[in-house]
Amino acid sequence: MSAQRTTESTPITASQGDMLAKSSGISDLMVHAMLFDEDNERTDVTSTTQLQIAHMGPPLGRATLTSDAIGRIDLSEDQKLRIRNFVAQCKDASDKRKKEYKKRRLRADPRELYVILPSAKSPTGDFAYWRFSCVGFVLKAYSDLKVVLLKGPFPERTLEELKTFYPGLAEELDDANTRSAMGIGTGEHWPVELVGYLLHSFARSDTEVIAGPYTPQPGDEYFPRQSTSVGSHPRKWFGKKWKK
Amino acid sequence: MSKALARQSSKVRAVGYVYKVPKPIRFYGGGRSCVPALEDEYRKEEYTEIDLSAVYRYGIFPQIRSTALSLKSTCVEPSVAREFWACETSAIQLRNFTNLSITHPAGGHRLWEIGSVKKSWENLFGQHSVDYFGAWLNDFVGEANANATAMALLFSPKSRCRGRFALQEWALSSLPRVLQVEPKADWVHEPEGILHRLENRDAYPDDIEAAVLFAEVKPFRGEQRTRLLKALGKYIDQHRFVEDQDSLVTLCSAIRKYAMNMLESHFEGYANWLLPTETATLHHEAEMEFAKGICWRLEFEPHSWPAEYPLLTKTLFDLVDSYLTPRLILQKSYANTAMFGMVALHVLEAASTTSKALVAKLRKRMMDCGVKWFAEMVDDNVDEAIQYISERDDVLAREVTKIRQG
Repeated sequence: MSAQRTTESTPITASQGDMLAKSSGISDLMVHAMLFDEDNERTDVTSTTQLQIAHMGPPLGRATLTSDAIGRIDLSEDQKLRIRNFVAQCKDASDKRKKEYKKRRLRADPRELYVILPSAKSPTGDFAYWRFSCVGFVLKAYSDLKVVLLKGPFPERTLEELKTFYPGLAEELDDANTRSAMGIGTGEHWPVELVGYLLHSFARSDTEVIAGPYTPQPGDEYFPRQSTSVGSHPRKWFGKKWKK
Repeated sequence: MSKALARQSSKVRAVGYVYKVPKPIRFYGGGRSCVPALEDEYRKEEYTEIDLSAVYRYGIFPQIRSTALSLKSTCVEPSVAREFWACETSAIQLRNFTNLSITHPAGGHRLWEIGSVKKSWENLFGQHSVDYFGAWLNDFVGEANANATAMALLFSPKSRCRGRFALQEWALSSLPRVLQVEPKADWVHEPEGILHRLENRDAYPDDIEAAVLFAEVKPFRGEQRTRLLKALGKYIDQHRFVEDQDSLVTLCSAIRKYAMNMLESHFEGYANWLLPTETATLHHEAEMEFAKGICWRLEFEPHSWPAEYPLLTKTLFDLVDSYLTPRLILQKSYANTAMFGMVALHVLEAASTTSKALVAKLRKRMMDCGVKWFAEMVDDNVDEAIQYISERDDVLAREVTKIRQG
């Protein structure tokens, strides 16, 4: 199995380009996807190990974080180099812009960076850089290697569910304009690509991962999978935001 | 201001609060008394209403206190004054000043010493505020120099307590004009506000940088786009050889925005920016951004063809050719630079009617280079470009495919 949860006690291995995931912290719901971005393999990775990662935070960039799950296939050295190059070319000025916003006591606009549907949008004259969701960032890194991890149809999600999957954007998602700019403007259900799906894609043999994409099922937003998906749970299951 | 009003004011949050000060004062902060001698004069004045929320629209000075003084009746230490007058630009960098004392001649009372507050100012509000303040001072001094009566409002960090804004301000009589300060924070969201900073040669450097950064995430149409391209072109021209990481971020932002919006008639001029001079060469990150910019422009935005861009083609060819050695390709950003250059050359050659088979030469060299993963990366990215181009121009996509297949 090439996807697994990290634990506090049993160290596991991570290599350049592996997909890392953060859980919601109170359940097995996976809410953030990243790429492991260290040159040397680590064999000491537990749920408390600080790791160098690259991700679409937002902003797009590098950081040091712990990981709750790892998905991987055996990448060749060449493929690792290509992932490193992909990370190096994904530059934008969002971090500096964020500081400018802060200086001017303005709120940063998440629409500048982040898209939810589709999970990656190519550059345009208005936004002269790739925009991703955190999942889109990982998907693009692997699709550049000709490894397509996911394929639709994807389970459709309501706005309330999306707020659970994107806890950092929960407030912004209440704004119709922001939602629209992120690709979830019209309709009531959206087929978004979620972090848990990536882990389930990796949780196949390497041959299967390379041979073809994974089509997710309801409940795959959790890792390990749960028989019922987020929408069917009472709200109180999902942490402080729901309890108030 | 009466003491009663002052007492009342001190308990009120400053945001949106309107109170009275002498004559047409447009902007200032409140603060505890630091110039007691001026208090009486202040009280004699007629009051004009002002809106303190302007302070907050700036978003720069969350906690401030002010001292108002007339430069006409104020002494500036000669050594400092010399630096002031010697400065040709209005964008004075306060950090360049080691010490500035302004004293009230009546009592020889030292009103302010900038050197002593600079550090804490920086710590609290960042360099931007310090620089901004410096620009203001320059304006004040300019007023004084023109023999006009001016009023300076000097700000310094107050206490760290939040939400309170002690209001007891000081002003002199006979103050016909004070700085007119326009709200600063909102312009970053407006294309016109961004253009105003980019086009204004007296704009403060921090504001120009911010304008470049925010231009990248705003749409510019029609005449505004023309103005943006001109301004960004000028910025790139002036900054393309920067080396420090902070400036590179802004430069790369300008390059991306320019490349994705430029007209086809700009392509050849764009190529000039990729060329080194006799004494300077591009930072490898800026070089990658230039290559990426033209690559993305050709891949994601429509362009007419057939068309010939001999300088751009030659420049990209030379660029890629120079990095296609195992010794270089693994260093810095050279692999990405060469890859973007290769993809761009595929499209340029496909769009040209006078093909010189440059891509074929480079592909042969790429294979001879023996770095397999790089060749795969180029092919995969060319395939991706073909896919995107085919969505808008199937014929061109087929031409690129032919070039790709040799």
